[in-house]
Amino acid sequence: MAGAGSGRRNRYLAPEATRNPLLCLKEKKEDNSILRSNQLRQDGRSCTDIRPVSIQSGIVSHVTSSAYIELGDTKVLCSILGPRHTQKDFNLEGQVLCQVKFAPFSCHFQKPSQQEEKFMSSIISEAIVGAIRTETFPKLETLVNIVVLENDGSMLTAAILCASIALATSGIEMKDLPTACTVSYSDKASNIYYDPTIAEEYSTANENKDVIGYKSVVYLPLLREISGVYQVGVAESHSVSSQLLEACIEGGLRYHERVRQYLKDLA
Amino acid sequence: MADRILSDFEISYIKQGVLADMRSDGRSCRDYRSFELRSGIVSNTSGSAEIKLERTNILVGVKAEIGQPNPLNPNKGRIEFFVDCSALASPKFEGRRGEDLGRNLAHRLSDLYENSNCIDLESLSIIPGQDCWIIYVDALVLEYSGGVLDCLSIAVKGALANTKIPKLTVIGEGEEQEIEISDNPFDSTSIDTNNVPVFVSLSLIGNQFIVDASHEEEACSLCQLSVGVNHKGSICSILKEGAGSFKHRQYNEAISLASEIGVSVIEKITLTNNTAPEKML
Repeated sequence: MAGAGSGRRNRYLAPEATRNPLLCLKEKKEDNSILRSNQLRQDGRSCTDIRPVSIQSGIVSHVTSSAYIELGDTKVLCSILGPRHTQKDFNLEGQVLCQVKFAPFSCHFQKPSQQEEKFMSSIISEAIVGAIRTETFPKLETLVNIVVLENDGSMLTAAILCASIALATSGIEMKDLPTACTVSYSDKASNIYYDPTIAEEYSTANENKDVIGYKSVVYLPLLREISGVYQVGVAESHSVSSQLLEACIEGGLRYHERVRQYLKDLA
Repeated sequence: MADRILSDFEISYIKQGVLADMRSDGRSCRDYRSFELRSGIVSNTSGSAEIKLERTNILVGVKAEIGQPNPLNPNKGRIEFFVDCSALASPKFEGRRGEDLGRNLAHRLSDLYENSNCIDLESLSIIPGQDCWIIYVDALVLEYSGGVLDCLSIAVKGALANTKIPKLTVIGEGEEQEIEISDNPFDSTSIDTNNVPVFVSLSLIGNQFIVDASHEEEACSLCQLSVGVNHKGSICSILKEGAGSFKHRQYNEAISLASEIGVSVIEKITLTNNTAPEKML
C-alpha cells in the first residue's frame, strides 16, 4: 500500500508531490516566541491590539455589491450575487449560499483543501444567515462569494466583516451587521492575543508552543447574540472558554465600530 | 442534518416538552440516552468498534499501515478519517448525496484529533521523514437516525482503544535503515487513547440547549453546538452549526453542560473497554 494517493482516492490527500524548499531547512528559526521582552508582539502590538483595518466597497463592477478588506496582511474580497432565481426546490425563505475560495498563492505553505474551503463556507453562511431577512426574498437565492487573496491569520474575521459590508451595501434587508473576532490563546488563557497573525495562530505545523489554540466568534451586536463559534485547540475548562468568548465579543465590537464608521462615511 | 418533516403540532409538542424539562421519551434536557458499544468485532482490522444509540448504528474499523509522513511534520505519524454514509443508512444518502455529509464528519474528526494533541503522533513515527504509521479510521454509518457526530466520536475512541499496532524494530544506520517486524502476531503495542475527546452535541430548541437530541428533536432545532470534550472536562473544539443564534448566557450554560456530559460519556466508554472480553485471533 503506497501513500495516501494511490488506492484510496476518496481519502484526504495530504502531501503533494512537490514541497516548499523552506521545509528542507534543518534548523527552524530560533526566535518563534510571540511576545518580545517588552511584552509587545513581534509587530509591535500589545496583546489586545488589533491590526489596522482598511475597507473598500464596490470594487467589482458586474455584481450586486462587493467589498474588500485588509486586516494587516490578510486580504479578503467578497462579492454578492442576487437575490436571483434558483434551481433548487421551492422555499418560502430566501436561501443564502456562501462559497469561500482560497487563492492558490494565499497561504505560506499549502493552500487549504477543497474540503477545508467547504467547511469554512458553511461556517460563514450559517453565521451570517441569521442577520439577513431571508423572508424578504422568497424563492430566490443570494450568493456570497468570498476569495481569500492572502491569509495572514484571522481569515474568518476578515471574511465575515467583508461579507457583512458587502451585504450592507447590496440593498438586501438585514437585521444586524455581523461582526467577528479571532483570538489565539496560550495555556490556561494566561495570554490572549487579539487578531493573531498566521505565526501567532495555532496549527499543528506551527512549532510555536506558546499558543495552544484559537477561537473565532461571530457576534450580532444589535441583537446581542452569538451566531457563530469555532474553536480549535484545547481550553482548560468551560470558564476559560467563556473568558475567550468575552474577549472575542469585545474585539468584535471594536471591528463593528470601524465598519459602522466606514458605512456612515459612505452614505 | 435534519431530514424529517414534522408538522407544526409535533414541533410545538417537542418545544413545550423541552420547556417543561420532560422530553417525548421521558428524558430531561440534560439526560443522555444509553448506548451500546462493542469493540474488537471485525477480525480483519487492527481495531474496531460498533455503537448503537437508539436506532443509530455505526461501525468503525481501524487499520494501521506504513506510509510516508507529512512533510510539514516529518517526525510524526498520521491519522486519517473516512466516513461512509451510504444509501444503506438512510434514503437521503442515495446516489452521491451522502458524500458531503461523510466528508464533513471526517473533517470534523480529523480537526478534533489533530488540534487537541490527544494522540501521541510522535510515537507513531518509525524513521523520521521516511516512514511512519498511518492510522486509517474508516467509519460506516449503518443506520442514520440522529446524534451521528457524537456516536461517531465515541465509536472511534472505542476502536482506537482496541487497536493493536505490530511492534517494529529499525535496523541499520543512516541511509540503510530497514524495518523488521516481529514474527509473533501478539507482539504489539496499543495507542494511548486516554486523552481522546468525544463530541457532545447540544441542540437549541426554543431557548434552551438540550443534550443528545433524537432525530425528531434535531429536525426542529435551530442550531447546534458540537463541543469536543476530553476526560478532564477540557473543551477541545467548538463549532456552531445551523442558522440560529443564541445569547451569551445560554452559551456559557451549554458549554459547562457539555463538559459535564462529556466526562460521564468518556467514563462509560472506559468502563466498556475495560470490561469487554478481548476477542481472540
